Amino acid sequence: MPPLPGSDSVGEEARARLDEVIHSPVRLSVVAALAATDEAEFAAVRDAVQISDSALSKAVTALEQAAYVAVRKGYVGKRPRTWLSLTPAGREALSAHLTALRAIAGA
Amino acid sequence: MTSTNPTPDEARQLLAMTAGAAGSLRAAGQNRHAQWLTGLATSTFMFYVGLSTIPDDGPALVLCGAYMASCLVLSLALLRGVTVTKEGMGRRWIGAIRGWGVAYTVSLIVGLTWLRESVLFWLLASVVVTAPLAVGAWREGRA
Repeated sequence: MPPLPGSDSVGEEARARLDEVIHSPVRLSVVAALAATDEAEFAAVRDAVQISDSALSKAVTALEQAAYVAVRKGYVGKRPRTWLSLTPAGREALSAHLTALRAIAGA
Repeated sequence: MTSTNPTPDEARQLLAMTAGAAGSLRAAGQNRHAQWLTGLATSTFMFYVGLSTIPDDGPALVLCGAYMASCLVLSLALLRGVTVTKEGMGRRWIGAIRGWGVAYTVSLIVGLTWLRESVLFWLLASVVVTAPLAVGAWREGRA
C-alpha cells in the first residue's frame, strides 16, 4: 500500500493553486464580498470590507483588468453611482482559491 | 499578511475574513427586496379582503387606487437606491412576481366576471394571490 502524502505535499500542491490576483487580503475580501451578491454599490463594498475609497479603487482596477470584476456606472437621481459585480471568471477563480486555502488550512 | 505561502493558521484567518466580508455585504443590503415583497403581499391581501366586503364598483375602484398607490410608495421607498442585490435575487424575484401576476390576473378575471359578490371567493383568492409573494419574501430573506 503506497504511503499517504504528507501534509507538506498537500499544502504545496494547494499553494500552487492559489490565485495570484486575488491572494492579496484586500482583493480577496472584495471578491468574497461580491460573491454573496449579484451586484453591489461601491460604497457598500467599501464599508463591508472596511477599506478606504482609494484602496478599493486600486483593488477594483486590478480585478477588472483580470476580468474578475465588472464595473457599471449609473445614477440614482442626479447622483452618480458605481456598481460592482463578480464575473463568472471571478467566481471560478474565487472558488478555486478558497478550495486551495481550505486544503492548506486542513493540512 | 500578504505571503503567497500562507501557513495553515494564515489560511484559516483568510477563510474567516472572506466569510466575514461576504456576511457584511449581504447584511448591508438590509433585505430591501424581501421587505418590498412582504409589503406587496400585505397590500395584496388587504386589497382582496377589501374586495370581499365591497360589492359596489365605485368603492372598489377607490380601493384599487389605494392598492396601486401603496405599491408605488413601497417601490419608491424600498427599491430606489438599493445598494446591494443578493446573489440570485433576480431568479427569486421573477419567480415571486410571475406567480403573483398569474394568480392576480386569473383571480380578477374570474372574480369580476362571475363571482363579484362571493365573499368566499375573494377571501380564498386573497390567500392564493398573496402566497407567491410571501414565499418569495421568505426565500429572499433567507438568502
